[in-house]
Amino acid sequence: MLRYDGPADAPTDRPIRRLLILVLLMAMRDRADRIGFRYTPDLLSLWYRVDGTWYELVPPPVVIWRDVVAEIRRASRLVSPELGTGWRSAVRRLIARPTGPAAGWLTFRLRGRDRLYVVQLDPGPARGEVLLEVAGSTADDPEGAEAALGELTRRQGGDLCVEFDIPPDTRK
Amino acid sequence: MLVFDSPDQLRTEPEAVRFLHLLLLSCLRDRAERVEFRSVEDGWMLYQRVDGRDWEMVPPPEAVQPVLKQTIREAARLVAPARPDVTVSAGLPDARYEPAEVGWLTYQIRGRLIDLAVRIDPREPWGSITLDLDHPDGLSGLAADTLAEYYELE
Repeated sequence: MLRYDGPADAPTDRPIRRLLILVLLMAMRDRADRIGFRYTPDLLSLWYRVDGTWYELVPPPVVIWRDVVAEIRRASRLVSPELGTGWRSAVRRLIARPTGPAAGWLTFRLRGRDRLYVVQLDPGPARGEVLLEVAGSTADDPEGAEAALGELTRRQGGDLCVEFDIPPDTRK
Repeated sequence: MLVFDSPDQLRTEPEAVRFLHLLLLSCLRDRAERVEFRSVEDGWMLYQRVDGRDWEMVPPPEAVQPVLKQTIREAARLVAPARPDVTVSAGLPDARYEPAEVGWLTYQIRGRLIDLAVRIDPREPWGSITLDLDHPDGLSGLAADTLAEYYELE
């Protein structure tokens, strides 16, 4: 579960957690019903869908992809496919958990109200995607999300950014 | 997990499991992207999505319909969302709680494996069970051969 009760739940010293909280808040504010992280070795893009149209947000640095996947795994309740029997299952065992595909649920609790997302996670290796889809009949609070974003903006002196500590040789 | 080894093995399976095998084989053969059961007032409707279009199929047999959801649950690996503890102190007579679930159904045909993403909306009526196939082309030929072999022996 990811929760937001106040600025302390989106700490600047945990940038991946902060990024996810900000994306979830912005998606709720804008009434987005899907959020997608799409990864290739050259680019990590971030999208969300509002009224059937996909909008691209500012892309996060590609080097944080593995950390984003790990944070979503930690916060979600996920299940992986079974491995099967026979020699092919040996190959699947090599690429299975904790790095294989998974599906499940992510709960985002905004000041006590839960919003549920269905999670589809395919971490790659060459191409990856995380898709979060709002589950039907789940809490929606665009005004609450906007208030939370305003609170975070004020806390950071009018700027709503996330700073990542990226080694110079991996900057893209 | 569903495992298909031979037509003879399929004949020994319970009717609901056999139905599920034959449905998945025919959908794989047709390169379907999605199989969807939609719950309506008097049972289940069945659709397959090919090239973005939904095609209505013959609904599940009457004997299978009451056990359809349970059969899929037993074959799949599913997870329900975390839910706060609640106590229901009043409710409709005969009402029951079923969680929504998502997960995977792994289908093994003669050693080849395909993972179908499963989503269950448990409402009856108006809920649904969807099975999504990411790469429907992969096992099309094998599924066609397997079906032909099964019906030849029939």
